[in-house]
Amino acid sequence: MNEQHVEEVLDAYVLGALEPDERSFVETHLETCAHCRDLAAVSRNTEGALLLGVSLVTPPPSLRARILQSVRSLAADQAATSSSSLSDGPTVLRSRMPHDLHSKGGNAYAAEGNPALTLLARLMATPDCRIWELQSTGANAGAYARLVGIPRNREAVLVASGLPILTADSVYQIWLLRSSYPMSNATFHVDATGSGQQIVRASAALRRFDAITITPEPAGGSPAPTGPIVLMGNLHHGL
Amino acid sequence: MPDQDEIDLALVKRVCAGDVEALGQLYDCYGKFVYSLARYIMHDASAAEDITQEVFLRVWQHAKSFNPERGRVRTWLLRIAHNLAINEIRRRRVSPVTAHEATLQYVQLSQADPDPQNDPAAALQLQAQGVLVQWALARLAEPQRRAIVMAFFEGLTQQEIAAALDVPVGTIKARIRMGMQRLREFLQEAYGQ
Repeated sequence: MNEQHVEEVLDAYVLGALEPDERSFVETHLETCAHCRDLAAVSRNTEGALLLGVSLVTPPPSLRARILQSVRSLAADQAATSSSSLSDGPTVLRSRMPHDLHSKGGNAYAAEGNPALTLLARLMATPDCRIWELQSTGANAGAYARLVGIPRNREAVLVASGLPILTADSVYQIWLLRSSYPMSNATFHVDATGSGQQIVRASAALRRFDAITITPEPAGGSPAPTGPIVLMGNLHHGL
Repeated sequence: MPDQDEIDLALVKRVCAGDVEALGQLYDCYGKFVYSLARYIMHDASAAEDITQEVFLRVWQHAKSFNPERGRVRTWLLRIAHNLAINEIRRRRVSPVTAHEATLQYVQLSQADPDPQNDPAAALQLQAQGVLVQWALARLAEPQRRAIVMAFFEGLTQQEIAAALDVPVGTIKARIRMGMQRLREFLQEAYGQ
């Protein structure tokens, strides 16, 4: 650790990965060092993004009612012990929070040089945006993808990761299924980590399709699927 | 039209004033995210429900202490959930094998079960941001991703991660530092900053 600053351990600090004595040292230093406090805020922004980085699971429908019932019971108890306990209004709510990494408007998300990410950012800022999961068919357990788009529109972005890297004479091809008939869509490559993004432009509104699949195909794509399905998703789910 | 931060802040103010329905609206926006984070960390649906309930009870009880200058409402909710879940698994103390399995599970998102059908628009936008974060994480080198996941989602210190993976602690420090730096770069690329 640098004698003057603690910047080298700030990421570990915000992740909670320091030992108690190290954490205490960092916190003491941050009290007096504006330079490291600024850097800690940057690390904290990244840590805040990680909070969103888990797969979503729908909680049981009954949970909402259970929570609100608990709160009502608690409120009743509080009212019984102190009739004025909740009547003072906010005491610390002073102003709007400053904007951070995620607080900019849609235009600020534009990803220079990557049309798929630019479109993804635009879609993200749209209230009607939907996300469809593509599941691995089993042969490639680490593969996954999501399609982000607006059901009534034809454009979407596929974000895939964990796909096996293909040989130079092969590509991944996207298929949109309608009445079990696979309609050819874009092809794409993945990088060295198995990740890729691709704009999907459908022949009709996305909500008109039943499913999406991805298969490996010869370079240039195929008029009909020839390779095994590596990922598939139900487009009715989430509409 | 107010942005989501303003809407959230208004809901917190209503919670401060004793409005249970405002808490319900916060749940509608962020309950799924809180539950998913808790469930991911705990690997236990029942524990995730308990933590989700505790998060919103704490919001109810401590809404007055929320300071918007220190962050967003949704980040506040998720940090409460994260702290509760990490404290619980530290109490239970996971084994290195479990930690390894959890790391693998993290990048195998095929078990995801999103159900955006009834989600408000704000939650859907947040889901899209989650996609970007997962995409950025997936681009990290596996050792870096594993170190970050074990630290943040399993509550292990750098020394504990080093012991679990049988590598020098200096290696883990470097993986976390470089991994977080790469993550920032990927996110900045995604957000065009």
